Amino acid sequence: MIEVRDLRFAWPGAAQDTLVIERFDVADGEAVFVQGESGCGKSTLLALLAGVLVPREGEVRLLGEPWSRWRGARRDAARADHVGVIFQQFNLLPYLSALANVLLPCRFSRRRAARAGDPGAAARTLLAHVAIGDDHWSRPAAELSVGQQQRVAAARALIGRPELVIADEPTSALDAARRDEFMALLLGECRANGASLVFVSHDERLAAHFDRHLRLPEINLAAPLDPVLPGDSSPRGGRSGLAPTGGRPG
Amino acid sequence: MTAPLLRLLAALPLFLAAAAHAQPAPGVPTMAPPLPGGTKAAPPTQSAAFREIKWDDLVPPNWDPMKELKGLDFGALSDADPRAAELLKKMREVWDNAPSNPALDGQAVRIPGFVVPLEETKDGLKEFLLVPYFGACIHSPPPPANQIIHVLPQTAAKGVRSMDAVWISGTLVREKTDSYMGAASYRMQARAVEPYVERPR
Amino acid sequence: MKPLLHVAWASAWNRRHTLAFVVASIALATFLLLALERLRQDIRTSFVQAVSGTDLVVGARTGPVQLMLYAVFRIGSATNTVKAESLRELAVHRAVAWVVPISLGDSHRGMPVVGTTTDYFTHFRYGDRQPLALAEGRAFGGTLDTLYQAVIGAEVAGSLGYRLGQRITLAHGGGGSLAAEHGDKPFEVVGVLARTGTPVDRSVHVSLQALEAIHLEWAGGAPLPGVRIAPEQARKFDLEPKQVTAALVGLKSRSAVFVVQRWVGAYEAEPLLAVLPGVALDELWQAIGVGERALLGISVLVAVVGLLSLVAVVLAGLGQRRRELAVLRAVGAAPRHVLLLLAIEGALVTLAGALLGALLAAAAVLAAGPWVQSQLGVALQRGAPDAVLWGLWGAIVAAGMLAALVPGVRAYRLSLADGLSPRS
Repeated sequence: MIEVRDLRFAWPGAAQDTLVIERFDVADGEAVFVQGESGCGKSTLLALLAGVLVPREGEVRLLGEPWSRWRGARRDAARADHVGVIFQQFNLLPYLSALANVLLPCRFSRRRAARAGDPGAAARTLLAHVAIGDDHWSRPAAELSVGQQQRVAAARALIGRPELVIADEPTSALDAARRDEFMALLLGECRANGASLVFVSHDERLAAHFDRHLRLPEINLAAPLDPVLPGDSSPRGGRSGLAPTGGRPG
Repeated sequence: MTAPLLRLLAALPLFLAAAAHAQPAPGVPTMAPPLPGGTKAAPPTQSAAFREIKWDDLVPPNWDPMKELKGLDFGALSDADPRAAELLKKMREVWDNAPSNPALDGQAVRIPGFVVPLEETKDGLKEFLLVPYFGACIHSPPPPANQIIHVLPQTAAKGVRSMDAVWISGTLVREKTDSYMGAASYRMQARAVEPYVERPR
Repeated sequence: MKPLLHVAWASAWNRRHTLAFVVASIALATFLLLALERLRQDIRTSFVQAVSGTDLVVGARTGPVQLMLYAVFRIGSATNTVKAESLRELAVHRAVAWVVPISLGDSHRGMPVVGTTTDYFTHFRYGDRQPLALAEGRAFGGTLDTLYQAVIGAEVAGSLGYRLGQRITLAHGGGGSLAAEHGDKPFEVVGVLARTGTPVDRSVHVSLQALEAIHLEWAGGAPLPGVRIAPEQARKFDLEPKQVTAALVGLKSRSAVFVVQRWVGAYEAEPLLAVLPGVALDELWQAIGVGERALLGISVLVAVVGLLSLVAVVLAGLGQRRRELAVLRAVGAAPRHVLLLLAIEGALVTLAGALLGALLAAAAVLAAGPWVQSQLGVALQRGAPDAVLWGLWGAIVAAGMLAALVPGVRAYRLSLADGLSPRS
């Protein structure tokens, strides 16, 4: 599914590389848990895997294609076709309904629309699977709770059966009960669709659900020498997660 | 009292120009009308079908307005001389009765001039007079009868204002001349009315 | 494109409370531009249509524009009169076909009274050589027996509710309700003219002799005390006018206009002026032109202000929308889609504002039309807007779409830099 070879990535203006990875592979249908503290480059890795960033050197291959060598437009199109993304928070467009949010990838990718068959029906099915009651389907997404929003985000990532799902700390804003619910849902759906899952988090307790568990500093040869404290040392000022930390109560 | 003499002197060059067309007098400077009809700045439409003419061409070749005024020495007249006013009046009468050129009757021609609007409607200018020089109706003496063309454009000319410079193309027709009328002698149903643009030399 | 349209619409609708103000400002700007342009065009058309087929207008020696204004448009007043004797001499000039004298000064309930001959109804044209037509009745007789007859214009009949047979009295001068009335000599309305869209609609036409009759016992603008001449007795007097205000002149050949104009200018018995209506109007446009351009300039500036507010509001909101943009990137939108999204939003807002403004302008024309017609004599066109107005409207919409690119480009850059992890 994914092959990373000799990757080197540095933020513009940074003195040294943030990520240096010799080799990182994800097989078809494999669920990988990537653990690391904030600031160690998790989100950067995910952005590279999602084709939003390109490495300075080296290569990222998706489904055998040299993804990282393509022009931006082609990568964006490939992402639409093959990848589903879940952020830690604020996954949805608040002014669209839950249904419309789930359907978004089908609007941007004809392939996913085709794979979904009847996108409308597929969306409803998925929403039912992620336990969102049908009375919520047409209401603006802003009216849903955080837990419900994360579940809708999962449905959106999964519609049209993309080959790869990338999740950046999707459970960090959930409480314990919701978290377990969410994990079961996500992994179940990925397995059912045969999608690969790359899941990033600092919470080691979740690792048990996954096929493979690895720590980012172990494969990242550019890991900083000093111990990393939260909110520190990353050239980007130390955020965690792909999505911005807003102050929204969970 | 200087007014009549001044006007006489102002009108003189034009008289001479008309006369020069008939008999070029050596040593008398001819003042060309302000719009040289034969400019090379020919707009694209219909230039082949219409022959470009000058205002001089509208004067019949054998007409000599100076005939009656020969022998007078203008320099000898003082400003207050009543003969100056008389002379002016006589000149005007001659001009009012200026004949038209039969050779141009029915000819397809193009000529540039200045617009004096007669009938303006909301669709544009439907009737106007074309005169050879600017300000024909205001200060300088009006042009002689054979230097005025009564133009009726086939399609109303839009955006044409008083004293705009235009080319007109069409068939020139001599109006029935009636020397008692003091009327102009030419009329044209213009096929085209185009703005006049001076080509830089 | 389609998914973007849907998202753009939903996004704009979500922020409608803020955007409504932007829509309002663009609507006002559009309204101003369109309404002013239509008014300008209609005033110009009205003036241009007011007189046709008249070669010269002759009056006391004032200025060409002023002469046209009072003689044809009945705006302003004459500085001096024209002797009837002079007009008689003019009428026998070899190049003159007809002379129609007119006498102004009196009014009826604010509308001007025009003393003239029956030739007026034959020779006066307007628009594109259209003659005057009577909607009801006939022209006044012009003889002594038919002395106190009046023909009124369409606006007079319409706004004052007059029909044939109505009795009216004329007032001296234009003083409105304070003017001294010629109360002892009422007139009868014998004809109503069809609507022309020119100052004729607002005028009351009577014969020159009738005007003389009602002024018999007046001197210097006030009635002579103790003198009363009954209407029937007035007929016994010599009612031929010695002076009129101006005259409309038609020639046998239109190109003789310079000859006759010069003749009038050189006329020694009194100082007179003859103008070509077309030329005088063009002078008027030149003078007004500066003001028109200034108004247009101001309207354009107002439109620019409206569009700037659009840019400002959308730009200000961008900061909060970076997460939205990240979501879109995640589902497969490219940075250029983000630009398009913002541009479409801006275009939608501009379109909404421009449509609203156009509707307002049309409504204003419908609502104000009758008032403008009765007060200024200008007929506002209620029909579909012409090419110029469409062009102006299109320019506003196009400018709005261009303006929307500014936040679009900003969003493009932000999205490119943020990727999936916006900084906000």
